[in-house]
Amino acid sequence: MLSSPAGGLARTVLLYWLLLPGAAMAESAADLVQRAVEAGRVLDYDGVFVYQRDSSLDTMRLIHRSGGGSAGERERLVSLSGPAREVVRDGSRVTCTFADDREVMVEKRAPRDLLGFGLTRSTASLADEYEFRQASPDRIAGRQTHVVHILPRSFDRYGYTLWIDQASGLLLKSMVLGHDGQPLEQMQFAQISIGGPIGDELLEPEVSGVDFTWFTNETTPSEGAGDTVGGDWRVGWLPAGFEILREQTQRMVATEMPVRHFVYSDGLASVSIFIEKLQTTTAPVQGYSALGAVNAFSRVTDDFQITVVGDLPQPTVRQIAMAVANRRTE
Amino acid sequence: MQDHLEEQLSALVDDELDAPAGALLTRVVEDPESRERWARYHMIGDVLRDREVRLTPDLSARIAAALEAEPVLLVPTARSPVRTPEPHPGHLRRWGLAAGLAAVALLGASFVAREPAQPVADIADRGPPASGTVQQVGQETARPQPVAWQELRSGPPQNVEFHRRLNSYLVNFNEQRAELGVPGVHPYVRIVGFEAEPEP
Repeated sequence: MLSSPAGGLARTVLLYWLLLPGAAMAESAADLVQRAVEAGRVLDYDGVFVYQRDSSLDTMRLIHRSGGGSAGERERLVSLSGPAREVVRDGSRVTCTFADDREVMVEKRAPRDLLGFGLTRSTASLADEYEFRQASPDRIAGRQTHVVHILPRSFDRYGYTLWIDQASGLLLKSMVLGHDGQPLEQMQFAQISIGGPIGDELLEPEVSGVDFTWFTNETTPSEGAGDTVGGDWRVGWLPAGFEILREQTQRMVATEMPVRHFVYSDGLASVSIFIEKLQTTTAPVQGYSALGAVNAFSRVTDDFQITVVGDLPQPTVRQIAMAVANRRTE
Repeated sequence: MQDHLEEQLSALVDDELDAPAGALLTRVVEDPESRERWARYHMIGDVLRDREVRLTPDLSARIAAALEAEPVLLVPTARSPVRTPEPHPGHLRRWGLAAGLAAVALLGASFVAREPAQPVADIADRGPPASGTVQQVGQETARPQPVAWQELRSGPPQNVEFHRRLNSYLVNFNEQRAELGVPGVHPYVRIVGFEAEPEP
């Protein structure tokens, strides 16, 4: 019936009629997500939020100052429940203070360019792997929010629901969802002040570092001659849409041995692949581990320990780990 | 008093509270037995842990709503000058050790293996096509046999050492994710967050 030219036109019109409203809505929801990513970095804010995973619940305070660029950006995250712990990040360092362990750790960060922030993939290409839907507005921390559902098109990754402040674009609540629609972890602001002046004192570690033990790692990834792990590695399988973002050799905080580190992302979820040469004194490890929505899987091949860590479902993390191979032994 | 408050917090969790939640938490704040202001949050966490509450969308929303009704929260007031670390060019070893120790305390309690490990050969048999020769591990004689994550909390020192390594992987993964700026849970909450050692 629709094979004639007139029928073809009717079909085209019908398709547009069916698809355009949905397409327009999907683009709008994806744009909101892009705006939330940007707002999180360029705005100044100070808020208290609740973080929950499994049966554990923590209350934390997050203070962020953009500083007008990567050099000036500074952020402090401090626990309000449980032991006093905090993380201060600036353009060049991450400082972790653990009052319960009486230790302070400082790690050098690779400098990043604030101008280049944002989702690593365009929202259009993200739509290949995720469906973006906008739901009815909601109210979080006394503010009106857009609600965006991000639904994966396959079972090999998680879904998200985001509550985005209508006025500022800041993410005020987020939830990571498993296949059954049940939340795996979530954070939600209870109070937030946006745009106010953030004084220097608010961004200094609250817990005194006096009498604590300080440890500083001044090495940066791929620094230093002789930092080679060995092997010629390829990752034989990744979920659709995952692209390599980083490939580096670095020394981990827990070991002096160099570790090969690959970072992949589909624009929302990300996965790190760590490969290191086993030492005769080190026990190889295998199996699963999990923390909230983050899963890890370890295996051993040849003389190498492979560990994959990602905010992806357990079977996906495992499948990636099983597909890591050394070309030199193939 | 304490028991009564915990009872009411439990009711809050079950959505059975008659009085407004904000009023209850205000009482906790004003409770003279709660000498530190943020102790109330700890109490909430304790109640939740004791009751093995499942994560639900409503629960956090109710608790957040209760917190929203409170006065602006302040962090601890005692502030001491922060010492600037002296540079130590050769103390990567110390860093590694300390990071491991702290990470165990920080994350080890939370990063729990979910299922028993399969024998190495079994994993290779069941896995998707991969060219790794995992069976060779079992043929090694100079190296300890593979162990599973859940065995790492105790046992020989090398097990604990690898547990530290897993934690440092997690820290590095979080840093990469933070730099990506992708939406979702703030990566570092998993480091600052605290969870008591689960019951054996």
